[in-house]
Amino acid sequence: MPLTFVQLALVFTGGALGSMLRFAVPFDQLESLWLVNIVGTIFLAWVNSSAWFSSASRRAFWATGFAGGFTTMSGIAVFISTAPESPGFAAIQAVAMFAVGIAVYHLAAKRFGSVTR
Amino acid sequence: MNLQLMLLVGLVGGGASVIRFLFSLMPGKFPVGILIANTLASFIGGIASSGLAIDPTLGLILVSGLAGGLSTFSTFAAQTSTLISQKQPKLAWLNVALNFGTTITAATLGTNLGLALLK
Repeated sequence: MPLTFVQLALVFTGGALGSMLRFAVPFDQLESLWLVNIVGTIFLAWVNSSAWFSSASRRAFWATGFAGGFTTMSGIAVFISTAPESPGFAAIQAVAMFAVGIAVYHLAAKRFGSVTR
Repeated sequence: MNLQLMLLVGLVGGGASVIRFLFSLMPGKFPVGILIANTLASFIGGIASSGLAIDPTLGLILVSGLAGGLSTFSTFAAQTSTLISQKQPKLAWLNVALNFGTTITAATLGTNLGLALLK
């Protein structure tokens, strides 16, 4: 599908909303990373499984923009690189988040898919 | 909560999301576009986090807006799950290993570069 200005504007708006919501999460760094990444991943699984989100414009806003902007990979990497006093603990947290995130997406996509399709 | 700062994070995060979207359009069986976006974002996040002491406001905009908006965890999880569903375990493991290794390496390089520039 060719790129359109509307599609880019929807990604921009969804990304801005997701970024602001992530910024507003009132927990410390590690708790915030867990919350935004796991909740955002479950949300993306729902978006990717639901017929209501199947149009290109809704996907651009909610999947690419909002879920992408709400979750963060750089936050995990910066958390590890700036934790020199406990790099092992930070690395274990990151590995656990990767494993839980992938598993949660897999299970949620199956769950939501079986309900909405 | 500083509303003006939050709006700036949103504006920069929205722009960064568009750049991530353009990266994600790179063709191929392996999701290299998101890997590049995540790695680049981690490098920027590393530099910006080391500069937080100089200008906390600019640092927060770059870390939360630019790096946070450019990178994504949910799409990484979705793409890895899809590779597993498509019976591509080697590509799934490669995606996990590269996203883990390159983002942490990039953030560490960025942090060290930022600290070196501050001296």
